[in-house]
Amino acid sequence: MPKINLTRRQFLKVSGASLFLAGLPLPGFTKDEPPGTISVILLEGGMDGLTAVPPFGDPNLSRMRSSLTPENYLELNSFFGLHPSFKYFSGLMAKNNASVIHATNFPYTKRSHFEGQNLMQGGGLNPFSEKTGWLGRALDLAKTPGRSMSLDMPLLLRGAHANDNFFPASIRNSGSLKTDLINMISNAHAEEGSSMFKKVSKKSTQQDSVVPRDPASLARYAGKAMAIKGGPLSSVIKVDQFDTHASQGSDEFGRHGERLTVVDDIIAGYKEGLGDAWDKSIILTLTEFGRTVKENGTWGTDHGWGSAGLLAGGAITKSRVISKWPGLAEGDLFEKRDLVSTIDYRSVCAACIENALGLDHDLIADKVFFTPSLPRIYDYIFS
Amino acid sequence: MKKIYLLLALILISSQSYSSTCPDGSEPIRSVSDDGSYYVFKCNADILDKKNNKNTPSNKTKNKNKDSEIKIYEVSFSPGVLDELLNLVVSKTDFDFSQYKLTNNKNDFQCRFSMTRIVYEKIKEGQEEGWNIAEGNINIKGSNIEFGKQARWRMGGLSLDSSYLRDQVNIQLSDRGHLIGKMAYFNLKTNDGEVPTNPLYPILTEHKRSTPINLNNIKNTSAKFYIDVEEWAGAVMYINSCKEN
Repeated sequence: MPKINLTRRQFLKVSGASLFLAGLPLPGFTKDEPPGTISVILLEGGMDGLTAVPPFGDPNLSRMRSSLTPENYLELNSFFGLHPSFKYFSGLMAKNNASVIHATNFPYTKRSHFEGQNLMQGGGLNPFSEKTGWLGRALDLAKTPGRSMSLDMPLLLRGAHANDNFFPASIRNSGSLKTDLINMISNAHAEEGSSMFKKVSKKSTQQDSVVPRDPASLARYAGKAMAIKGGPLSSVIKVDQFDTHASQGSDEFGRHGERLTVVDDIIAGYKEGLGDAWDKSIILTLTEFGRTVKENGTWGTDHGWGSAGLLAGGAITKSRVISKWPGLAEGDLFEKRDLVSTIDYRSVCAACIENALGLDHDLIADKVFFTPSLPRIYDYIFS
Repeated sequence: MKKIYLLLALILISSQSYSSTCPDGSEPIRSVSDDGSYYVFKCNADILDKKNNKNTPSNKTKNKNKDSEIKIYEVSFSPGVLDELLNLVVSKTDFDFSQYKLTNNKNDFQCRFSMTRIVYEKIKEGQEEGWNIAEGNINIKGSNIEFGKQARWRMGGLSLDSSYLRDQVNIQLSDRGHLIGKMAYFNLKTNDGEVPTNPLYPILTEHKRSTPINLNNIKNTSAKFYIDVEEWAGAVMYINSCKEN
């Protein structure tokens, strides 16, 4: 019996990640080809934006945190640094294909994982108020509803139109999967439905449905799928374990740093999978909240508000850190503990939708985020 | 006249009170109450004002207006760091060949190769298994080693993707006839129905047990290369039957 030496790092890498693909244009739905693709990396647990992108230029950072800031961060400019886990991302920044939005998040301040995750996916104004997700609604508006490749349909991708699910599961005998049932249903349906079922049949039996479950492989697979003409326009990868209340660590070998490495690997996987389609792609991270500015008594951080959002993709042509920096002095913090979110992250999502799906900002603000006065910050990111 | 003014004032107050629009002209936003039992209509500015504390500027800008308080912190690296970042290769087959002297062979050869797994669990020297985990043709082009179109892994799962032998191999031939570099390698077989595993990326080096390629007579070479992969098992690659192209 072979020995399998699975290190903690390897275990973390293969656990807690799921891939969802959506926006596969259905026959008869797509009017014009959308200009790009949009991919979302969900960081569940609350990513610490102050560790990921340390604002070392703020004199209060070192005063509030004694052991959470990596010593070997990469200086992006005279104020912000980049965590050493972001090796690939730093290369993209050098190539002007990546940016950071700092002191940002969804307008939710109650620090509940459940409510926060619901809001960051639903994009509603109150927790659990929406049955659809902001990306699903955007795909609906772009008239590209379609198939979600997932075991379950994440709220983020749920739209008003009926989407169906498919996931490249490695079930026994999947290599010789019989598609008789799909073909029978296909024959029994009208032309439009028939072609859809044929696509499902083809997808079910194609060789590349054998995919490892680690996040980077899922991203590579998603990228390849999105690069195909007529393929999905959107994908979502979920990564968890960012809830570092204790022993958070500072460098790339710490608990939080390892999670950031996973994010870096995912972005690298997307880039590899997308190939030439990278030029029209945008990838963004979402997290339900940031973490407290001050380190807690167990060398970790607790639930906060403002965090950092990472953006990568060929759609970005100038790397920058975009922020309305609120400061880290106690008086500058939300309820004297959290980094204030001074940029509504829904504006960032709206800009990414506008770029990828070619929708008008006012339409996105009104119909996707139910906030007609949502500021447009497209030019800050994509100009 | 006073009655008319009073009437106008009342109409004005009335229309303000029953107006369905927000002070900024936008439509009120429908949401569900905290207990979920009724709808709440709120103006967006009110919501954001409540969400943000006094340090957060209230968000009353019109859509198309830029938020002038947002600042762009341009990313600027020193020339040395920029050069390093631009040349950064985050590749699993990245290998530094500078510590090796490569062969000055100028000719192209096509050879046969086969790879078997060698298991070290029971015997220290290892026990070769009786089947090939990979086989096919391998090309020697100068010092560059490439697997041919007929080369294939037989480990199931991801190994069936021919791109691993095409794109994820970075091997050179040293001046002592050894294969050095890194390549994607599948140590475990994935059977039908099992979750596939990613390849490993072992380093091929001048292993003391290897029999190198005879650079003076490549056509008649019969080389045997040991590859250390994991503690419990590694690989042996045989190269023979070379023909000059």
